Amino acid sequence: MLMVVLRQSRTVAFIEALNFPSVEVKSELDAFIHDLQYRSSITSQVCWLEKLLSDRFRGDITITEGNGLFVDFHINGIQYADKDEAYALINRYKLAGKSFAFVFPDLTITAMWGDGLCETQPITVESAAWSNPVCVEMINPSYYLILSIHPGSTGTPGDISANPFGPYSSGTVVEIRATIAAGGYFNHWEIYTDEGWQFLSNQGLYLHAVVANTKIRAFYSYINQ
Amino acid sequence: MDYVNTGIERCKTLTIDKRSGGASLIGYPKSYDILSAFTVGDMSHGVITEENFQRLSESIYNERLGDFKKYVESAESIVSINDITVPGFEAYRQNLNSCPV
Repeated sequence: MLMVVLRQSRTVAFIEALNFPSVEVKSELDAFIHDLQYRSSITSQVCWLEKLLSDRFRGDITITEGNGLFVDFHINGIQYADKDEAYALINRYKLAGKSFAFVFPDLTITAMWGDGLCETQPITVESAAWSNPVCVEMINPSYYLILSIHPGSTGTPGDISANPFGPYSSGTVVEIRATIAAGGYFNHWEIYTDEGWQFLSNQGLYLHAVVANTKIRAFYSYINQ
Repeated sequence: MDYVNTGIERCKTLTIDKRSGGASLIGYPKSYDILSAFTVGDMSHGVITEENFQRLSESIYNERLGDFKKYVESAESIVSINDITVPGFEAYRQNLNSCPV
């Protein structure tokens, strides 16, 4: 645009100096547009996020799946000092609701367990055996009876007693006594019938039984504890 | 019911240290107590005494331990507690000196 006669080096330099701010602004505008185009091309795909981070932080930055852990993906390769900027970048482009965590190559994380407590487990009964049967015989009663066991205090023998119950409570009481060893308890009852001894119950300390001209006996087990 | 040692000790404190450039970050080392109450996901565990912690059955202990690790991993943004545990300082280890059978 400048006439040839005026195109002297000093004049040209002067005009360029006048125009320098405009050139600078144009250059910055071009860079800004380029940056906008670049950012708008970024998506939430893993490959794009990796490219974004690699371009920004100049490293071998990878993204791996969370594999069922507490976050959806891990970002590997970001320096600890860059964590805040990287965090903001990822939050801008990742899908909403996706969580992530950084694995910083320059950060050493250690875990140490301390203050140990001794593990304890209950003592288990290795075996249990039936022994020392106690026979209880009843003759005559045509009553409803309650047989009950009174173990007594620890370390002392208990006893078994039969008491009248029901409509025949005014009848004769036949009392049965048998000692049991401390720590033991009756838990197996049999009744004597025409067919011999039959298993009756294993209800433990108390037994309701209909007894008519027959016999009842009880066994107890003694378990070392 | 009587209880006996199994020769194993169960640790109750987990210490996390994060170091950069040879120095611990501010706030570290940080300790977590497995006896305290914590929640991870849908699972909540209440406070437990030392004695009850010692007496937990193996399955219940492993369940609490697993959830506690997830809880700390989540709180500290750690991928795997197991991967960063210093050898010799595991949560569950034999110690016949402290816990004679």
